[in-house]
Amino acid sequence: MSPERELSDAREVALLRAVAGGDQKAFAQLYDAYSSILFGLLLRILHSRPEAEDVLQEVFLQVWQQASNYKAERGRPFTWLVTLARSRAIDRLRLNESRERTANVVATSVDATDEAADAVEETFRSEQSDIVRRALEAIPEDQRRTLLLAYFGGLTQTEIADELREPLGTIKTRMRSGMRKLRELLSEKARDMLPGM
Amino acid sequence: MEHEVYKEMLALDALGVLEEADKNALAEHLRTCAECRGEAREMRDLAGMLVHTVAPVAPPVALRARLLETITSAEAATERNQRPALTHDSAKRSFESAPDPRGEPAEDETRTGGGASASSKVLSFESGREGRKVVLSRSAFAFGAIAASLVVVALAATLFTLWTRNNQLRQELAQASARAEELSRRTTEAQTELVRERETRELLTAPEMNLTVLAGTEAAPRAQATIVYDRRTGRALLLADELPPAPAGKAYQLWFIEAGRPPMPGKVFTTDAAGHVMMRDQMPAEAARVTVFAVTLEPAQGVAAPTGDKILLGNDS
Repeated sequence: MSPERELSDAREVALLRAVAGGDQKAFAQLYDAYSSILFGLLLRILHSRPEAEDVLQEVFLQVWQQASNYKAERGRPFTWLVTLARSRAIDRLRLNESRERTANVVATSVDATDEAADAVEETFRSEQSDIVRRALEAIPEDQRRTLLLAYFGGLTQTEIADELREPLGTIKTRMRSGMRKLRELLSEKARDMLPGM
Repeated sequence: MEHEVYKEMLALDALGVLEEADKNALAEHLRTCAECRGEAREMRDLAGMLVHTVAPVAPPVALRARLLETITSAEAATERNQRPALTHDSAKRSFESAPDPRGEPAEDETRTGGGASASSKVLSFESGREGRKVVLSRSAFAFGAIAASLVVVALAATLFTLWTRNNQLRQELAQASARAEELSRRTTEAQTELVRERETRELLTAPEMNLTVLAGTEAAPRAQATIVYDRRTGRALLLADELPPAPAGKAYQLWFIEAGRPPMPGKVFTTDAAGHVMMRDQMPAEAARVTVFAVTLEPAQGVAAPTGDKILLGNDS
């Protein structure tokens, strides 16, 4: 399999169009480019390799069948792929796991945020991931932890407030402030990274 | 709700943490607010970038092979159903090879011209046979012209047939695609229904399953409902009968109520023509000590705190 590589938005859109037209080579290219990052995401959410493999297969079959459903006005193609994978993983999590298991996921997700803060030097990181991680590290720790818990934990805002034993209003403010700060930090870089923005 | 309130929800929506009622209300607002749609897109892209904090992990090679095999098989099945399209391609290829015969008449014409010239020479030197020769040459020329005309007519007829067939095949292909899309949609619906049935079965057989009966209030005395829920997982199922139809712009909303705390919003729903509904919901995380369930009539997009009349009420104590 070819190594993980990230494609430009224009290339992603072209690939999705080709996939929508039934181009199997384009589908294979899309898989080669994004299966590893999506599989990493699924493992992070599901904490189960068989479940993650199962969901990854479902996600790419959905891409094959519904590539024509991608709408540029709703986000980048990469965002669409990530959203498909994340939604399916969270659905699976809610379907299969008990509340206790969810609590474990929460605990692990919070732990993982600490790991995230220390692992910049890891060699697998691409330029994009380095930029995002550096920006996250510049955000106050409570905001960063809440953002990552929200994104990878599969919980609603009230569930997060409950798990962290904080008022709901505090949690909402943290998430909003965290996103605003992240946007601010990434704005210049994002312009380079996201053609057309 | 105000525009600013929705704007504040965009970051939370992108992170996927909004409660169902807020999510629905925001989706409604996004339909009419271009500014929020733009910011929603930006927030989604931003949230999507959080995935870069995850270490990529290569999935098993067999999974890639399995996927490609699956889509190839599906494609082969589709192609089998589109065999006429292949025939069309063959026909097209045949048609594309037609320039050779079409070129022939031109060459013949050149040769015929040469032949006429040769005949002139014959006329000069063989006057005794010239008349016949001329007649023969004219006949040959006329025959060639007729043959060429026939070839052109035949080609035009073939072209017209192919063009008609091509249009038919295009229509058939479009119909087949529509059928495939419909099949895919039905499959997805069936899968979703299976998952729902599985959830319902799990809920009804859960060891800590609770059941509370909700009675109609004065606003709807004939209405009745039952809510089945599992405090451990927070899953709940509401079954209601004889609810009056919700007026235009209104819908019913479920509430989870704990003594001394504001009611916690559940899902918004409407009924079928007979006033019946079966609705799944996820109880809020902090609803572990809920003892009262209520259904009120609210604006269709749902509200964060009850404003309308109570229609159904039940207490599990």
